[in-house]
Amino acid sequence: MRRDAALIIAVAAMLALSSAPAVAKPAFEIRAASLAFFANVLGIIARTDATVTTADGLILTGKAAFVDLQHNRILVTGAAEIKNTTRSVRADAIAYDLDAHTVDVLDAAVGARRGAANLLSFTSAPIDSDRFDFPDLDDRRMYIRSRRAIVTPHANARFVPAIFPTSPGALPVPSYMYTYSSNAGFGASALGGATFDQPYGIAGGPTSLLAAHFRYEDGIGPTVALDDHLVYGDRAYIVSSIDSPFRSNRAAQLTAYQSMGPRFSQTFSASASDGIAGGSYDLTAAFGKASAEFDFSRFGASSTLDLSARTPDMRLPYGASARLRADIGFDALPDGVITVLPDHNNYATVWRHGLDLFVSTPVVKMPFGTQLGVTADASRTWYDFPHHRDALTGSATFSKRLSKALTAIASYSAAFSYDIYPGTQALFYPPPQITIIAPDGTPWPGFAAFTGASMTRGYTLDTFYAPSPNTSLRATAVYATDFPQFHGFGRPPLELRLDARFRPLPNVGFDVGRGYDFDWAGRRFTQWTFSVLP
Amino acid sequence: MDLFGAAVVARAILALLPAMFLLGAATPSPSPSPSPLPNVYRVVALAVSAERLVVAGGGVLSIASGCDCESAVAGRAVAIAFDEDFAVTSLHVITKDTPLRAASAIPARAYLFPVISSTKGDPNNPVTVTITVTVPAQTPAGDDVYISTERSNWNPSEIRMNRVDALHWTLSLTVPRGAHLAYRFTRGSFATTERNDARQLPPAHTLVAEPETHAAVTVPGWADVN
Repeated sequence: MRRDAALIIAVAAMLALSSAPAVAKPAFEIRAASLAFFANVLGIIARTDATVTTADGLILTGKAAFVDLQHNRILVTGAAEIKNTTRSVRADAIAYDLDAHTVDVLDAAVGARRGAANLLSFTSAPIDSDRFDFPDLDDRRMYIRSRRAIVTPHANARFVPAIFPTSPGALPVPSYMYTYSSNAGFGASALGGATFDQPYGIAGGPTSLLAAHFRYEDGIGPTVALDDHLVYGDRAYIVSSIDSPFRSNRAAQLTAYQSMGPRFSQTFSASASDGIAGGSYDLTAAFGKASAEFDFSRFGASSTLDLSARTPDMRLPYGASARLRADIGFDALPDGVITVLPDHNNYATVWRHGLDLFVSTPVVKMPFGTQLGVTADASRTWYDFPHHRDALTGSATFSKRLSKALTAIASYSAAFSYDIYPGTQALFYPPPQITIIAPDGTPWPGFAAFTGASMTRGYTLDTFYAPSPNTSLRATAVYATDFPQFHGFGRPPLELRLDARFRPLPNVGFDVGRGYDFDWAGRRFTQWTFSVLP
Repeated sequence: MDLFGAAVVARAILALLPAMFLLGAATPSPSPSPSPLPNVYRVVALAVSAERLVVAGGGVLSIASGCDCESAVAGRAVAIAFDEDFAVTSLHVITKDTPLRAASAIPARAYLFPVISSTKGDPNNPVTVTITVTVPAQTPAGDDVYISTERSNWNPSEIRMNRVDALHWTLSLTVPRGAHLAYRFTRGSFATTERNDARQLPPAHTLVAEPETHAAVTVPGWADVN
């Protein structure tokens, strides 16, 4: 519990620390009777008496304005004026490039002039149509309507208030921050998976983002999480989060990533929940297209170490390729890793080493206009206790394009694994003393046949119908024959699934899907999947 | 969860019903558009005086005597017609879907001052861009591939792609012409984001939307697959 508390305090400290850049002076603020933000072009159109105030002391006014967030430019037009504390310039249109700190002034009578942001002198210049671009945008594609926006260049724009024309009733929220930075760190997440997750930006700067997440998590229900991002260019980020902070089952996570040049990168992550705290460290090195990895993790009293190296893809005849991976490491637990042994204390650390061979074919043409791709993977892991584990997986995927809009994919995948303890198999996989009861309450005597060998086999038929970019339909049928698999244990033998994507309005689309499991342990329909598309 | 999912979908559908009804009247007919009127152009007005009209892109046009051009509103689309000397003879505020020739079709000689040609297109003119990705053979069978873009704050399961064959997935998007799109590939979560040959998080892929844009990208690996 103390470790939980320590990590939660550390995460809270990160949250507090990173909110500091959020109060840094924004680069500019725009106000007008009407602001329209268009996400697809990353632009803000201001109509009816627009005023832009920049952090470097300039004030631009005009009857209308366009802010190009992608290129960090402002255009004011119609009785346009730009002024600082000592000078002012009027024209028909004025463009300010915040990155270049240049001002372009367009007067219908004399043409264009260009000067510096200090407004001291202007010289004749050609008309740069990019700077005077005012896009002809369809208001139906507007994403946010507002009256005021505060922009941190190349990072985010906060709208105060924010009205989403696509939301039910177009209800306003007091403020909404839209992050448009392409930095990967802003997209990183330390939160676990959720059925539904809607982020809501609270504060942010050029290198930070603090967001609330409104989530629905299985087993928890509706909840709120906080996560915070600190980014350092494309090289590094730190993401910390607290999930369900007001519930007893709160969880804290922290992930830090750093690229250390073209060959090396490292990741550190830590988490705490339900009284268990832990962390892991990963160092990756690349040598051409080969790579090596060091990974150490510790959760509670349990530790794991892995050192692995793999070859690049090696060319085989007929365009096939193969790669080989070797690894060595250990599992450790003070009371012993192999708990079923009477002398388990002697096995506090168990070393292992393994080899893995992966072979794949390219996609090759087959009769009847079909195409085929095949993969196979075989591995064996040896332990310093008499024990080894074998795994063999394979897949074959046939595809056929039936029309421009319709594609059918038929695939077969299988995985076999065998956990082998020479001479002591029955100790580790003893025959059940009682009849196993399946999750739906049915007796399951067949489980007695499970002595360490398991298998999954799946036959999948997928059809993709995409008549237009905004409409697609996917129908999937999966027949799974596994072992062990019985009345609710394992995958359902047959599942049908339908996913539909459609765009009822120009600025919002939906992807909705659901499966049917044919009364698998009483379950007929699977959970809905639902996502909103920008 | 079923109840929650059903509630979300039902709420969305209920919220959209009136909009869909209204959209029926507002959306342009899918039937072929009528031909644009000759010599009538759609432009965005920036400023207007008795003698000159400034349009988006910085072009300055002369106004013919007798033209009632004062109705132009800064930042709004208007329809303009020229005489043989390329002076604007008429100007009208227009509806969104009026079929007119694009501003880019106005001859350069119509402008009173030279304009450096724009690299941008017409953002009100949506174009279809197609993105195809080749995934590594080690991609787990049964996993879907998604595109994550800055438009959704990098939601890792933003848009599921359509499978083409064992190694290829594709997706067509309708975006405004000239729009910049930054995107990454995932298998539905940030933990399954693409990696480069050095197994590092690569910078986002980018494209500028132009008609028939087709971006082909190869993903060397995934964060969770070595």
